[in-house]
Amino acid sequence: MTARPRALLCTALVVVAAILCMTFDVAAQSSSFHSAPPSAAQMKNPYAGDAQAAAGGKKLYAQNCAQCHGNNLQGMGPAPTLLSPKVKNAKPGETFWFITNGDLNNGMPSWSQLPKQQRWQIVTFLESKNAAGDY
Amino acid sequence: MAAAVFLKTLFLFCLLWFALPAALAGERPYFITYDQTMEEPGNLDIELEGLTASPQDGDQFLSGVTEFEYGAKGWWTTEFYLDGQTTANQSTIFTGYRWENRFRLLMHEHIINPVFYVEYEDINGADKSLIEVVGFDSQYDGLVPNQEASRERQREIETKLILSSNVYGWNVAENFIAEKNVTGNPWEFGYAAAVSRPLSLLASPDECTLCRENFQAGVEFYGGLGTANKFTVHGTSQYVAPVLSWQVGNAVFKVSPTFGLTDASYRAMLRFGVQYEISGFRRKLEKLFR
Repeated sequence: MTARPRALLCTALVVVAAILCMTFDVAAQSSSFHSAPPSAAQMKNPYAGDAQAAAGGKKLYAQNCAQCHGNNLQGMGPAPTLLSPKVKNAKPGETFWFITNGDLNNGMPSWSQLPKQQRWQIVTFLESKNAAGDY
Repeated sequence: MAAAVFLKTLFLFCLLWFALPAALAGERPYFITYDQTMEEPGNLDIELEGLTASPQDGDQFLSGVTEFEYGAKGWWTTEFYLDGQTTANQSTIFTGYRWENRFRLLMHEHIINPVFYVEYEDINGADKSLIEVVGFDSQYDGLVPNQEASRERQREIETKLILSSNVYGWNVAENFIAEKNVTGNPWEFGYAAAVSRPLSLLASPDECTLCRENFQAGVEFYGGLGTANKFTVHGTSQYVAPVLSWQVGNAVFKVSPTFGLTDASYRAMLRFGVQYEISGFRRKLEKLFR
């Protein structure tokens, strides 16, 4: 095989490998909330069911999240509703992970500047709002 | 006539200020040091910062910087500054502008989060904002009268590597600064480092003004590191500055008494600032022109 066809074959293999990796990546990602890693799902909400924490989370939501997701979590423009089966079914740790990391390429900022406790309070608030599951 | 225009502008500005919803989240109390926090996409943050000092052999001055910080993307924040100062017994002058851009290098949170910063500034020698200290910047630069100092033009490119971590409620940030005058002087170096923490890590359930979660306290260290020809701390300015911020509704107030640690430093300075964030600024602007 001459150099040129060999280079073409190598390029094709790399492209196919990349496509396969992306496909597996997407498949792997689709099973978790916003591509949260499996370790995120293992995290437990230290304030689960705590009404005081949820009240604090409500205040934090109004300060930080409502501007995009709406005062009633209904979503606005590109920011999705937070009252949905997707959010309800997400593990608390996955929601916490997504709030911490955001999705910087798609408009969701990282909220890591908020203390960990406050991010869990927001998770607690979202859980309390989604608990009814009446969408 | 001019006064009427000024009053109208002020009125419109105030109207905008209070009419638009604002949100400020965990804003750091720092004046000099950057952490990994980027402006939320589409939001505009307006900040007024002041600095006052009384040099040993010079006139007291008050420097003012107005900053417009815009979140272009989740990973890209751009900021425009207008600088000015007033010196007792001399004059009040506009000293120039700066345009900075910050790019987050990693899309997810890590133990250390790097951000790349690049700025172009076109200021004159009378600028006393001291929003970065590099090379052999010293208090003696401020002794040159405004009329003479303002003739010196400083067109500079400044880069920073920002490293920042959030651990156990604390933020720890380090900035490494390299600045180059485009007219050909050697590279000048500097640094800034800071730690801060909210006074309470939990949010209280009720609305409150004086609750501890609305306060953040910390300390900043910054100074020059010489130039490419002479990399040293000898003969440079070095500062330590406790910082405190207080969030009240739509505003954040910041204050920082600053103390010089070397002969080249100002002995004491006071920094203060107020900032507002206009959330959904891009959306509102688009609506206006639709």
